[in-house]
Amino acid sequence: MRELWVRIVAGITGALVLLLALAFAGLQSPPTPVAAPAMPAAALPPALVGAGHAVYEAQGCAMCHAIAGEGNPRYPLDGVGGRRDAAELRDWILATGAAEEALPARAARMKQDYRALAGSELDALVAYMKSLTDRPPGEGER
Amino acid sequence: MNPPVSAVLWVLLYLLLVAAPLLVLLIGPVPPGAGFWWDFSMALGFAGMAMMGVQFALTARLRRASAPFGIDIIYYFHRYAAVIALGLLLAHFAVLRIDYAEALGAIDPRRAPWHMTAGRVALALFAVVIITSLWRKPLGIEYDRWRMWHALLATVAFLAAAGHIAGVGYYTVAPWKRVLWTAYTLFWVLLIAYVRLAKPWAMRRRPWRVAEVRAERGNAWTLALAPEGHVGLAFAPGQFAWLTLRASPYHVKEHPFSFSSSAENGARIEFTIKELGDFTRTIKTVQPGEVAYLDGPYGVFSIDRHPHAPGFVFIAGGVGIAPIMSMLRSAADRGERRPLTLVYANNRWDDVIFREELEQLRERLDLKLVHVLAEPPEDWAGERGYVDDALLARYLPPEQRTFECFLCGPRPMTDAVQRALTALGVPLRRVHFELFEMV
Repeated sequence: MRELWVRIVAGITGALVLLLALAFAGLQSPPTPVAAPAMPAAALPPALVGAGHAVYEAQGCAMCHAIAGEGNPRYPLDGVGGRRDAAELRDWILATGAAEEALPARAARMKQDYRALAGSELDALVAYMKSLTDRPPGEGER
Repeated sequence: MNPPVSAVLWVLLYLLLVAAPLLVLLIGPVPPGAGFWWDFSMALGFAGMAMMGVQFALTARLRRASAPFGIDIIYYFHRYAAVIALGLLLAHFAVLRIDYAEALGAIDPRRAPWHMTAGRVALALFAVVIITSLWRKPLGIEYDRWRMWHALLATVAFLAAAGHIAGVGYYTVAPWKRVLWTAYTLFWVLLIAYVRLAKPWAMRRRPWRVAEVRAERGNAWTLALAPEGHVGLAFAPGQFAWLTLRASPYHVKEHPFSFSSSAENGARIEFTIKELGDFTRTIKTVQPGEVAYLDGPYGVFSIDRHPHAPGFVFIAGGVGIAPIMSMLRSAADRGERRPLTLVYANNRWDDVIFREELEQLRERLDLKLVHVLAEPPEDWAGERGYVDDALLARYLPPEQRTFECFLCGPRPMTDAVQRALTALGVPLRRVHFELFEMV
């Protein structure tokens, strides 16, 4: 008899927690935008953009960022190349200049690692960011 | 407060504790969402952690909280809840692994951020803790060793998971949420400290001395304890306590045993213990004067929980007689007049623990005593074989099927007797037994 109650309470707990998790996700998230693949802009040398993409992967940038739906969806980078110029992008990558103020302390700390990049790697990464001009469909102008 | 009401309140408190973190995260400024599955995964992680946290409370043996249910059932629940919580944590990981593999980064701990490694370590440790608990015996892990590692690994896993959450830090970035989450985590850590340090300390201050070790039939020994410098403890007959012998209470080398003596004498308490394992084999070597520590009493397996029952039926197998003996002795000391039936199953007549004393108790109680032997002597005129519905039907007339039934014996026997009683029309709510040997 008591065993039955245990199963009931355990079931209720599991269901309650799942419902709360669903509610949490539903309340927090509007429908996920379906991202289109990013297109490198013609003006950027494809080799440099390719090298930047390699740096992006090697540095594990996808742990905090997503491009075209790949990676951590919290901070998508789609369209960032259209919003920021190269100098701004460099600041955001390194957490320097205006970006240092704008970034949360934790994020600024994480970005310290990028200061160890070779100049050529950083240039390539900036070029790759600059190439991300496509916004995910469904998002308006910002 | 009457037991059903307090039971409901404790269950509600449990649900609140489990739900609290998610509710807190939802209140106030919520960071922007990142897609349904991502946020669902995060919620599963928090929910799993909340359930794992409360696991420490479930096994803290908080007497008030366990009183309405019986601590055995709390441990039983602890087991179920652990599996559900691990399921939530695995789902948290699985959603990310499937939908957002890149976001998990490198597995190699030398390349991965520490908080991601902490999360992986926590998940692996929780899985190890649960697997070694569900299958301790098949895995051949000794009980004392299991208990120590269980507590240790669970604590490390929990702290690693807490570190993982702090390291990811997204939801807990608002200062007040960080404070709340830290407090919530710290609460469980303090609870662990209470269980591992404060409780043993209190036990040390209330030591017991071995007064006697008496041989019983059937390779069983009765261990009598007298309080040393305190008044002893008040228990309900049928309850049990965790006993520590030849070890400090801090070492957590304790084993649960039912009291077998009368509850009317809390100043000399007895346990009757059969030689079944490593620890129980040492009872016969214990000398009078040795120190013992007790954590108890616990349990709801008692006639005292049913003051208005018209009578009682006891069904014991082997050393399962111990808690029932406590109830019979207490009943005799209290001048109990209600009708009692004891169906007592053993293999051999010579191994029937308390055989002589049970005969004597018949003079003081309205006690119908039915011995059932699996291997009876040739001249045996009594019941033979096992306790089944046909046998029970012979000794339980229909009007006695409203009695409260207490079963204590090996699990296959209590399972079979439960089915037999159900077949006789005894409602399950009147059938009581302890759930021992869960790990």
